[in-house]
Amino acid sequence: MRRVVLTGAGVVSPIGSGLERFFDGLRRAAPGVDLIQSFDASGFPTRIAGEVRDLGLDAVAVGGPEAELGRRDRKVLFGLAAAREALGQAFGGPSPCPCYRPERVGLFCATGLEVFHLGDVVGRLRAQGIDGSLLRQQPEGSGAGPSALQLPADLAVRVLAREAGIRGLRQVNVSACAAGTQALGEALRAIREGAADAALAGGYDSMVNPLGLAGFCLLGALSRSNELRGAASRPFDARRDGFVLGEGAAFFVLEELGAARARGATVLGELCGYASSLDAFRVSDPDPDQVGAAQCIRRALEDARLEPERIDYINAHGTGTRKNDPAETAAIRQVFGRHADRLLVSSTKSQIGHLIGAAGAVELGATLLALREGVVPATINLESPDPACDLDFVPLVPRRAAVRLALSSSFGFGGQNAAIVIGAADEGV
Amino acid sequence: MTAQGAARAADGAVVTGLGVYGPFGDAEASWRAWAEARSAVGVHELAGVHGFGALAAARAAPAPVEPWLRDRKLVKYMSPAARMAVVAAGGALRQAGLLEDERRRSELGLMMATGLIAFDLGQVDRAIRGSRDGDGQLDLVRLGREGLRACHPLLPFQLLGNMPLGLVSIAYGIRGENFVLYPDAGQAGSCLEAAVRAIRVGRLAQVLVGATAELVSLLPLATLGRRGQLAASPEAAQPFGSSHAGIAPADAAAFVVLERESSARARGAAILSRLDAVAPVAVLAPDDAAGEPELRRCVWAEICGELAPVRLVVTGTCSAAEDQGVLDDASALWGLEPGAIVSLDGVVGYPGPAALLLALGFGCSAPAGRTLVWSAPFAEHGCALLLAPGGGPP
Repeated sequence: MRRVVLTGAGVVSPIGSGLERFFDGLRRAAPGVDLIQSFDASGFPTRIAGEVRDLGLDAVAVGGPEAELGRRDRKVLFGLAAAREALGQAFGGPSPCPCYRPERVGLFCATGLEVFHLGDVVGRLRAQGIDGSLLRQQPEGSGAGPSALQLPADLAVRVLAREAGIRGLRQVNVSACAAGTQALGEALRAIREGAADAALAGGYDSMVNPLGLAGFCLLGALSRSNELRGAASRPFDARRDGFVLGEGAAFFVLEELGAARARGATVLGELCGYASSLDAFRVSDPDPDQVGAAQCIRRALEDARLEPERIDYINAHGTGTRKNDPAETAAIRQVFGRHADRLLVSSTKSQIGHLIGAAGAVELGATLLALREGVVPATINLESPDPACDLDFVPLVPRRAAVRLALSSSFGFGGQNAAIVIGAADEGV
Repeated sequence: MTAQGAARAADGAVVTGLGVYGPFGDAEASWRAWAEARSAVGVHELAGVHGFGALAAARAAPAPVEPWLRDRKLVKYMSPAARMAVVAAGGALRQAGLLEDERRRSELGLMMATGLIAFDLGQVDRAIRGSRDGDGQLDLVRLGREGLRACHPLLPFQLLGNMPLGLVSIAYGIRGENFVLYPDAGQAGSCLEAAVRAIRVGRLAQVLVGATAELVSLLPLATLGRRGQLAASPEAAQPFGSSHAGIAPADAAAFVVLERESSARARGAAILSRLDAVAPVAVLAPDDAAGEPELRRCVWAEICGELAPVRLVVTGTCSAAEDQGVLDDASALWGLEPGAIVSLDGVVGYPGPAALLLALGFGCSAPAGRTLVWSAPFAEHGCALLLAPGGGPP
C-alpha cells in the first residue's frame, strides 16, 4: 500500500496567519475570538467571531479572469494565501509541477457557502421585486463587479489550479463541517490508490459576513455570550451556549512517501487512515447513540491498521454546543474504551471558533504541532467541565506530551462524520 | 495538455439502478420526450425579477417527495433541489432492489454533487426590505434586529450545500462513506471517479452516486449570465442546431446505484450497464481554450482504446462550433454518423451536475454496443465516461 505524507503546510487563522504564527498562537493559548470588526454586527444576537486580522488581504494576489470577483470574497484570499504557503514549503515555489506531471497532481478543496453581498441587492430592489437587468451578460473582467451578485464558492479552486498548473483529479467538497477532513481524506485515498501521485488539499471558509452570521443566528446554534469575547467559545464546559463562527484556511501538500523521499522533501507527518460515515438520524442533532460518529472513528483506525490504544491525542470536533460535546465524548468512550481515560483530547475551536468548511483542515494543522513539538493544544475557556464530558480535555493551557499518533474528527450538520489519523514524521506505522 | 488518466474499471463497476426527477418527471418520461422530439425548454420570466428578460430554461414541477418519506416532517427542511434528490435517489434504490434491503442500504456509499445554490428570493426581499435606512440603504443593525426575523428559521437548512445528501441519507437510512461536491458536471464526474475507484479497490461494494440542481433561480442564473453561458432563446439552447449559443438552465436530479459486478450478479440484480471508464478532465482557462479540441480527442481516444463506441451522448456544449467539433471528431475517430450522437440538453435543459448523471442514465438505455458520454468542460471541468451493455437480467 502506498504511504502518504505531508510535505507542505499553510494556515490562515484568527490566532495567526502562516504556519509558525498559528503554532505560536496555539502555544500561547491565544484567544482568537472577539467582537466582529469586519462589518457592523451590533444589531445581531451574536456579535462575536474568530476573525483573521493579521493577513494583509490587499497583498494577496488573485490572478485570472475572475480576479475582480475573488477579491470580494475573504475566503478566496485566505485559501490562496494558505495554499501558496504550503506549496512554497513543499516545492520552494508556486507549483508542484517541476516534480510531478500536472495530470498526476490532485486538487482537493473544502469550502463553504457561496457569498452574495446584500448591499448589491439593495440597489436593485424596486417597489415590487428586483431589477435583474444588470445581471445579464456581464463578462468576467469587464469591471462588472457589483453585478456579480453571487460568488461561487469554487472560485479559489479555479484560481489555484491555474496558478499551480494542477490538472489532475479535482474535488470541491461542500460537506459543511466535515468538508475539510473529507477533502484531506479523499486526497489521501487518491494517492494511496494510485489515482494521483501528489495533491494539494485543504479548506478555506468564512461565514463571518452579514448573511452568514444571519443564517447561523437563525439556526440558534451560535453562542450569544458576546460579553465574554475571547472566552465565549467553551467546548466541553458546563457553561457553553453554542459555537462561535471563525474564518480561515489551511492547505497541505500530500505526496507518496517514496517520491517525497526521493526528491529530498521534508516530511511533516504521515496520513495513516481515514473514514467517513453518516448518522442517518436527524438534520440538526447528533445521534444520541453515536452510531455514525463511533463507526467513523473506528473505521479510520482500521484503515490505519491501528489498535485504538496506539492513539495519543484527539483533536476533537468540540463545537461548544449543548448536544455535540457530550455525544462526541460518548463516541470516543465507545471506541477507545478504557484507553479513553489516557487520551489527550482538545478542541482548537475554543481558540479560533468554528471554521465550518475549513475546520477540519485547520485542526489538522493544530494536530501537527502536537506531533512535531510534543505540545498538545489546549481547550481554552474550559473552567467548569460538564460532567457529561469527562475526558482529559487539556484545559486552559497547552500540555507537553509525547504524541506519535493522533486523530482529528469532524461532524457536520446533516449527519456527516469524518475522521483522519496522522502520525509523526518518523513514526512509520 | 492531457486528461487525468482514465480510471478503467477492470473488475467491473456496473449500474444496477437509475432514478431521475426532472422537467418531464422520471427517466422513462424523459427518454420518451427525446424519442418524440419534445422539449421542456421554454421561455420563462422569473417571478419578482424585472428586466432580466425572457429566459430559455427547463423547470421541474415540485418533486412529489412525500411518498418516499417515513417521516414527513423532513419536508420542512427541504429545498426544491433536496426534494428532487430524495425522489431520484429513491427511484435508483428501488430499481436496484435496495429499498427492501435495509442492511445493504446501511452500508451503501453516498457520493453526490449539488449545483449552484438557489436562494429563495422572497426571503432575501423580506429580510432586506426590513433592513433599510431612511435613504433606502442597507442598515446592518436593522438587519440583525429586524430583517433576521423576517426570514424563515429553517432557511439555512435549505441553503447548505450538503443538505440534499443529509436528507437522502436520513430518508433511506444510508450510513456509508460519503461526500458532497459542487457545483458543475465535472464534479459529478469526480463523484463517479471516486465511486468506481472505491469499488475497484474493494473498499465499497455499492455506491449511490447522484447530483441535483435547481438552476432556474436568480442567483445561479446571475452566475451563468455573467459567464455568458445562457442561451437567449429555446432555439439557441438546442445542441447541434445552427444557432446554438449557450445552455438552457434546468432543474433536475439524477442518481445511479453503482455496484461491483460480482456483487450485483451474486444477489441477482439486473445490470443496466457496465461503467468501464471515468476520466475527469481539467481545463485551465484561458490558456487552454484553444487546446480544448485536442484535449477532447485525446481523452476520447484514451478511454475508448481500439473499440469504437456505437453512440455518443453529449452534454454541456455551448456553441455550434463546439458541436461541429464533436461531430467531426466522432466521425474522424470512429466513423460515427450524426444520428448516433445525442444530447439531452435541448430536451430537458442543462441541470449542472445532474446533466452528467442524466447523460449516463440515457447511455444505459442504449440498445447495444458501447456508449461514450462526454460532458464538455463547463467552468473548466468536464468528464468522459465509457459505458458497455450490461447483459440484462441474470
